[in-house]
Formats: sequence, structure tokens, C-alpha cells
Amino acid sequence: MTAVKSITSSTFGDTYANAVGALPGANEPWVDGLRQMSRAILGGQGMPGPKVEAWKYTSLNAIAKTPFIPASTVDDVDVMSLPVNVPLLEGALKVVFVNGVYRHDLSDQIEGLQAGTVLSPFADVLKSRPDSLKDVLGTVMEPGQSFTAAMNTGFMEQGAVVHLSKEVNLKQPVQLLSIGASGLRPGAFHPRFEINLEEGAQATVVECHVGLPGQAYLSNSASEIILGGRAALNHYTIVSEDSEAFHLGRTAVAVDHNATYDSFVLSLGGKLVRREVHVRLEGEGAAATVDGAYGLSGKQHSDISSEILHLAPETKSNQIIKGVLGGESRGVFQGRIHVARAAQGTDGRQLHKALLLNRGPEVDCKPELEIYADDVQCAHGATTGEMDQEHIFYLLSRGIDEKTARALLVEGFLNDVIFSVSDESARNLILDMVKAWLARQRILAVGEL
Amino acid sequence: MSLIEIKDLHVSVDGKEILKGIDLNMDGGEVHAIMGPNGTGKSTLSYVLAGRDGYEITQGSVLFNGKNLLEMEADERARAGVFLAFQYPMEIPGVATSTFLKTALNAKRREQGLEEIDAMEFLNLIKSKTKELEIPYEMIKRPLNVGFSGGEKKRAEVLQMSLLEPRFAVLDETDSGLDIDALKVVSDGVNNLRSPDRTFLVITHYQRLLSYIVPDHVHVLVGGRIVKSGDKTLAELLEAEGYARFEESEAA
Repeated sequence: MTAVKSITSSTFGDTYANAVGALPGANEPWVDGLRQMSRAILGGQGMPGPKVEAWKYTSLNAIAKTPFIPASTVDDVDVMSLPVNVPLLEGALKVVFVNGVYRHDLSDQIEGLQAGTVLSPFADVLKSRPDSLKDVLGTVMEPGQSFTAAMNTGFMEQGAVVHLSKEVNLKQPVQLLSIGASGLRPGAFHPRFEINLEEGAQATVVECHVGLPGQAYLSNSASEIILGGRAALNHYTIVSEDSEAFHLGRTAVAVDHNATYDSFVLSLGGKLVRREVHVRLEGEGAAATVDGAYGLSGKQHSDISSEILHLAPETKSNQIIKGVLGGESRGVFQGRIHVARAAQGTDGRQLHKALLLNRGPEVDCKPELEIYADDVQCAHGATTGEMDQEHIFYLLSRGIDEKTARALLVEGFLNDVIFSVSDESARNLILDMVKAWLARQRILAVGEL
Repeated sequence: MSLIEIKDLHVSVDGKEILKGIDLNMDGGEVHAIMGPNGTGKSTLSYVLAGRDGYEITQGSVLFNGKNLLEMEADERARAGVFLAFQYPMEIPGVATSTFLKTALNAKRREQGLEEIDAMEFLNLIKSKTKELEIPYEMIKRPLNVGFSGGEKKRAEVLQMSLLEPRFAVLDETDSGLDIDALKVVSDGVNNLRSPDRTFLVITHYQRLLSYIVPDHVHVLVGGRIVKSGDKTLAELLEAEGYARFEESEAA
């Protein structure tokens, strides 16, 4: 591996290194050990450069050059109330973080929920009952597997824990809302979300990563998800960070027999956004939907890197990612599907489609299929292209002017995959965010919102 | 003055002349049929009238209601009252049929200086139109033409036409891919729209459609020219005898 720089020594500086001992759970040897191990990985390898395969298309140079401080020590920005344009999911239980710090005052009441339900700040759990996480933390989100995971695990401080006991159906969706807000000095934060659904449990969790306009910040989140047999999770991740912000986020999921992980990633804002998703279909009949959409403009860079591991028989995965790119933006999609020898009867489908609005953007797409079983159905495809002239003509021929026709088609291109988001209020939220994005790009007139 | 006056129209595609001098006048309320073998320029004529790119007009003119149609953009033509029912309607993923219909209808209303249609009014309008055309109402919630059967697509075209109330409608091979029941529904839809201030140009390969949509005039297009015009009996003659003798005379 090629090290750009050692992360602990230069990127986060001494302030960061010194803050270690004060992190929640630090006096718990296994928690401390996990952090130390993660930092050793970071220190040993440094930031991955372009020669590291997984980071071939996404450069971390800009992050390496920024002198981040722990965002929890940012004291010249105050967020007293939820910013007006923050995406809110109708009827959801909000858990709010500002610069990675849990904000009781901005969050909904999360104590005393229905029986068998735990929804708690991560730091509280690490302090008061760390043992409840002992068999979970770092088992699916393995620090050695990804720089993003190692950085989060090395510095994790706050976040949330969602734990449902057997057969509990949490009717109310949970919205985890992370707001970045840097002052004069750029802050970095590493929210950790632990979602654990026991056998037969069901929930909907929406993660939103947003930011206030201002200085650069680094949002480095990690969501570690364990689904027991027959459990069902809808997990939607919305990234709409500030235009100066960096976002490196990872979701790692283990799915047991006949459980379903139904997910969607929407990536709209941020200077550099990388979403990693790592899905392990571990039990027979486990299924995952790993869809997504992104919209890029200016010099934005977005990277969706996905690994779906079929490790048991009769497992299913479905992935459609669609991106719209304008300006001189760059989109990256890396999709690996691995089918282990034991995973007979696997059904794996993957599709990446990019729509270029002009000649400026660039798309790098790297699909990989590794199949070791013989009775499988796997298909993958990728297209990158401009808008279809025949489609435009069809709309023009109905009296729709060209600007409106193009707007409808761009929106339709993304909506095509968003329509399959199964939770209605999440789907509507995502559709609205795409509409607002199109309006900001002046693709859609504001009046049509 | 006729509503549509096509005069000596020559059209080339990629340097090859497809239409070699079309003359055709159509008056309000008339139904004209253009029949001809494949590859003779029927679809070219329909696309040129609708304003699709990629066709070079080397000679001639088309007046629509006294205005130079060929100088107008495709969307202007549509708002002025030209409608093309496509042979192969486009599938547009992600755009709900209802959104599309409303956008098109409002584009036209704006042109006429009317307010955008009220949501309730639109809903009622669509409900009555879909019922009339035996289109399941659920269909308009689906993405435009995506997964529609051949018959559903053609019905959807007629639905659009019925909403947009054009003055001049071109039907390009509307009968292709239709079974007899669908053909009847679509034809009824078209016949209901016949009126003294609406003109139809029905382009078809077969006479079959013309026994449902009975034309006032029939023209035979062969080799880029109208080689014969007549009344509806000409269509019956063509059905019985085929295009062979016209093609021979064209070759000679």
C-alpha cells in the first residue's frame, strides 16, 4: 500500500491524538483495544493513495492537506435550532447530532419507546453498558477492511444504537440526522451507528448527513448493521453535505437467513463524497436491495463503492445506481459481487447508469463479479450517455418546451430508481430532495417545486 | 385557403432524397389517408410535419393555417395545434404518465393565455377520458408507456390527442401492433374527435384501419411521390390489387 501521509501525525494533529484517552469506553479494554488497533492500521498505512485498488479513482489528497481538529472542540459555531432546509422524515423519531455531538435538545424523546426497543446515544451505551456491544462492535465493520472503517473506529465517539428484540416491529421510523458546521477551523467527526435487529424484528432507519455552509469539515460515519433471521430493515442514507465538505461513510451489514436489507443511498451534496457499502448475505434466503442515486455539479466528486457477498444458498441481491452529472464533476461506481462456493442458487443483479448533462463530467465504473458457485444467476451492466434525443422529441411533439422536457427527463432518470424505495415517506423525502437539487442546478424552474 | 398546404415538398436524409415533391391540401374537418408500401417516405412525411431534427428540406413549403410550419420548432408546432400519434411511442422511465399529460396540457393552456389546470379539474378530465378510451385509470400513474402493451401505447396516444385537442393530427401507422378489439377502441377514439375544425392525416400500410376511420381522401405514396389520389374506394382497390402496379409505373 502507498501511504500519502500518516493520518494521526499530520491530518488530525496532536490535538486529536491527545483526545484519545477521554473518549467514551476508553477504560473498557476491548473498546480501547479496538480503537488502538484501528489507529495502528491508520498509522501504519496512512491515507491510501491511487495505487491502492479501492482508492484508484478517488483521491484523498484534499483531506490529507486539511488540518482537521475534532469537531466536538469547534466552539465558534452554535446551532441552536434545526436549520430550516434540513430534510425531515414525516413522523420519524429524530436523533440529532451537530458536529458529531448528540443534541438532546434538538432530538425527539427517545426514552421509553415500545417494549423491546432500545434507541440510545452511542456514547451513553459505551459508558453505562458497554457489554451490550461487545459481540457486535467491529465484527461487521472490520477496521482492517477499509480505511473509512478504520478511521471511524479509531476516533468514534458519539452516535446511536438501535436495538430491537425478537419480533419487535418498530412502527415509527428513526431518523439519524448528522449536521456538520465548521467555524474558522475545519472539524472532523466520526459518528457511529449500531443497528441490531434480532430475529423477526422490523424497522426503518433514515440517515441524513447534511451541513451548514461555511468551512470544510469531514464527516466520517460508519453504520454497522446486524440483521437476525427473518428481520427486515429499510435503511436509507441521504448525503447532502455542504459544498465545501468531505464525507467518507461506510455501511457494513450482516444479513442472516431470510432477512432482508432494503437500502437506498442518495448522494447530492459535498465536495467529495464516498459511500461504501459492504453487505454480507450470511444466511440462507437472505436478500438485499442496494440501490442509489446521485446528482453532481461543479467540481463535485462522488464515489459509491459497493461489495455484496453472497455467502449462503438462495441469497438475492439487487442493485441499481443512477447518476446525473453536470459541470466538471466526477462520478465513481465500484461494484463487486462475490458468490462463495456455498452460495448455490444465488441471484445477483447490478446496474449502473450515468447521464451526462454536458461534455465536462467523467465517470469511472468498475463492476466485478467473482463467482465460485456453479448454480447462480448473476447479471451486471453499466451505461454512460447523454440524453436520448428521441425522448426529447417525443416531449417536444406534445408542446413541452425543450428546457422543461430536459428537466422532466433528468428528474425521470433518477426517479426511475427512486420509485422503488419501499417506504412511502422516505420515498417522498428523496423525491423532494431531488426536485430541490434540480432547482438549485436550474434544471428545474423553482415554480415547479 | 386550406388548413394545411403542402407544396412541392422535397426532403433528404443523409443526402438521400426521400420525398420528391409532395403536393397536398387538406381542409378543416377532412380525413386524408396516405397509403403506400414500406420505405416509401410515409414516416418521413409525418416526422417532417411534426418537426423532428435530421431531415433536410431541400425544396417546397408547408403552410399551417397560413403560417410557415417548417420554420417553427417542434414544440411550437404542437402548441399551435399539430399532433403526431407515433408509430412507436417512446417509453420514458421515471416520468409518470399523469405528470407528462399535465405538463403538456399546461404548455398548451399557457400558449392560449389560460391558467394552469386545477388539480381536481385535471383529475376529472383524465378520469372521463380514460373511461372513454377503456384505459385503466391506474395506467396514468405508471411511468409513461413503460411496460404498456402495444394496444395500451396506442390508446395512450389517442388519450394525449384527445386532451390536447389538436387542429391537425397525423396518425403514423396507428394500426400497427393492434388486435381487432384494440383497433376498434382506438378508431372509436379517433372518430369521436372528428369535427369540422380538426383535420386528420392517417398514414397506413393497410386498408384495415380505413374501414374504421373512413377517409374523405386517399393518396397513394410510392417512391417519395403521391402517384394517385381518390376517395375511399381507392383504399379498397389497393387492398384488392396491392401496390404493385403503382410501383411498376414509378419504376417506368
